[in-house]
Amino acid sequence: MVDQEGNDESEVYVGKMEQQEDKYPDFLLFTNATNTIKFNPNSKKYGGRTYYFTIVVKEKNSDSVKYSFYATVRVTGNSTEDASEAYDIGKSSKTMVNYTIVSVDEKGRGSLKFTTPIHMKWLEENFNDFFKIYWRDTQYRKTQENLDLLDFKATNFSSDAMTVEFTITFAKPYRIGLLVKKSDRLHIDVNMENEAYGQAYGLWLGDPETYELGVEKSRAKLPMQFDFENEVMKAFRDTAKNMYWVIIGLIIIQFIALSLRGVGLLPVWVFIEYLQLVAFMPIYNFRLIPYLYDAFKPSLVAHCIIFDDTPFIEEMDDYYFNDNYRHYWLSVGKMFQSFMAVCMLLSLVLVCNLVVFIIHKINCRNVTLNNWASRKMTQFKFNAYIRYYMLVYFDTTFFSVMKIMEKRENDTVMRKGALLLSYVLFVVNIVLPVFLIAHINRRFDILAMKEAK
Amino acid sequence: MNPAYFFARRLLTAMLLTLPIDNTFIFLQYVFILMSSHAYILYMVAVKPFQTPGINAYVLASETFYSALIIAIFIFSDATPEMSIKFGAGVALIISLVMLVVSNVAMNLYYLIQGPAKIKNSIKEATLKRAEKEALERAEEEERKLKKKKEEEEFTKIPDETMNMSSID
Repeated sequence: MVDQEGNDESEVYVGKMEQQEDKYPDFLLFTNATNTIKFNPNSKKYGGRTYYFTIVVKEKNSDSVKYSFYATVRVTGNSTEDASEAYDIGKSSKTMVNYTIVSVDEKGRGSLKFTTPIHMKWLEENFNDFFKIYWRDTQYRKTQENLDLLDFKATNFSSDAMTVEFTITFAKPYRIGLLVKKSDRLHIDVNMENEAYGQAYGLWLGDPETYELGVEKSRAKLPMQFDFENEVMKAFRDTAKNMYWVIIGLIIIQFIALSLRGVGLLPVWVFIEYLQLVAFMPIYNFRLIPYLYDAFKPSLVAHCIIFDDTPFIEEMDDYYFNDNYRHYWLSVGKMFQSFMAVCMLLSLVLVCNLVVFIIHKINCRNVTLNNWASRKMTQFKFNAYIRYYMLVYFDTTFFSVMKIMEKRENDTVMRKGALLLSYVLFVVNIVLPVFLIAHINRRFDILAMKEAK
Repeated sequence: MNPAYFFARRLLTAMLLTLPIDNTFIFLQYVFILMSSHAYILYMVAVKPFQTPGINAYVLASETFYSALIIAIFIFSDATPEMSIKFGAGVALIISLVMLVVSNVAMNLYYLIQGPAKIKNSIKEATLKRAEKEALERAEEEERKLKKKKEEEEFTKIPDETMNMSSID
């Protein structure tokens, strides 16, 4: 045997089947050098029985690249009393085989697992006749109605002879899994008589007499379904993508138009502040209809969360604080985009301040420029910084609390640094507003007197 | 009041957002955001803290749409399994989101059309109106106090006069 891709040396050996170790054929001889199997049932006690073993093909230096092929061998003849000591034919106690739906995820992918190896090839050929597949919604008690799936595809009949992987599609996937205490459920029931699947060429590996199906029904909770192949879901996602540009455009145009007209930027600040509040609404503990998450997404622009993938820390794009964040597709990586924007915005304000300060100090001959610089300098003492602080206050507080509450170990220097920064930011975000408000209240009397004069 | 509310609301919202899903006080999230929004609406209606009626109306509208979002989002709890109600709440959510943007566009257009001179004028007018209103309220308050004082004085006089009457008898 040769690995044609040349990754590693291949090796073959024979092993026992996990669930059928007592039925391993002792009379099997395997020659490594020639990779040949030889059976030598040299006793009557072996007669009339089916034996199980596996042929394992693996890469010599790898534990993960390993394929097991299940094999049976039946020795002809009649079983004897002598044999029952060596081999439990199972007529008195049949092997009970059960199956369960192991899981169904939010993309409709799931798996079904049998407790012992079965004849996968037969199951693959007869899957649709063997099983009846349907789902029931939370209103089943009222309606008593079994609902059809739009599609069910068995995608992989695994080589372990026990697992079947599948994908399911619903006509209206956005209606599923919306309640916490009641669940929609997927049902996979056996829809075939024992006589049909219990034949010599049937569900069982080996003697059908020795097996029995323990359960004939299995069900599993269906989580919320995020199927973006669905027309409605797709339409909302496409609209959300376009709305990102619309919101970005609106904010930029407002900045330019209001600045040129000289009427102040208050409407755009109010808009951004409300968008910031709205943007985090889907992470409250509610289960929105899945496409509604996309309706909220464009408001993330107010937090400067713009890109799907975060550069430099791509591994964080798959890390979510909890399920609500995953439904909203708001990973820690995306929140890092926002934090980076906070830092960049601060740098921008500082650079602008420096430039205006230099223009103000050089005292150039252009009077208009001089006046402009001195006007702007008053804005930098300290209106610009207060507005910046108000803009980033929600994000910095949120990120710092989140980091403090995070359950993950802070085992690297970076993480320890981030935790320390979070504590500092959190304390600052409590103390600084108190100081600011006290200052405003003190100044308010002075301003009122000025206004009265 | 307004800046204090701004910071307090965001601080508490940020803290509540990080509550784990299995926390027993998770309902506090909803109660807090709902109450804080309603309280702000009441404050806006009563105090009108911004300089012009236009911006007051705009912030009030934004807060109202935000409040509508909060009310609609409650339907997505286990409160009702009815899909038709959930769809209705979904429509309400989308309308509120759109209205938030529309009110902003309308406010911007209003600001751009008005121009700086008119806005300054309306700020002056609003300040004057507010000052007049405050002066009127102060005058009314003083008048009320005077009246009360007078009533008290008259009340205290009565026993003396009756005393005198009895002495005549």
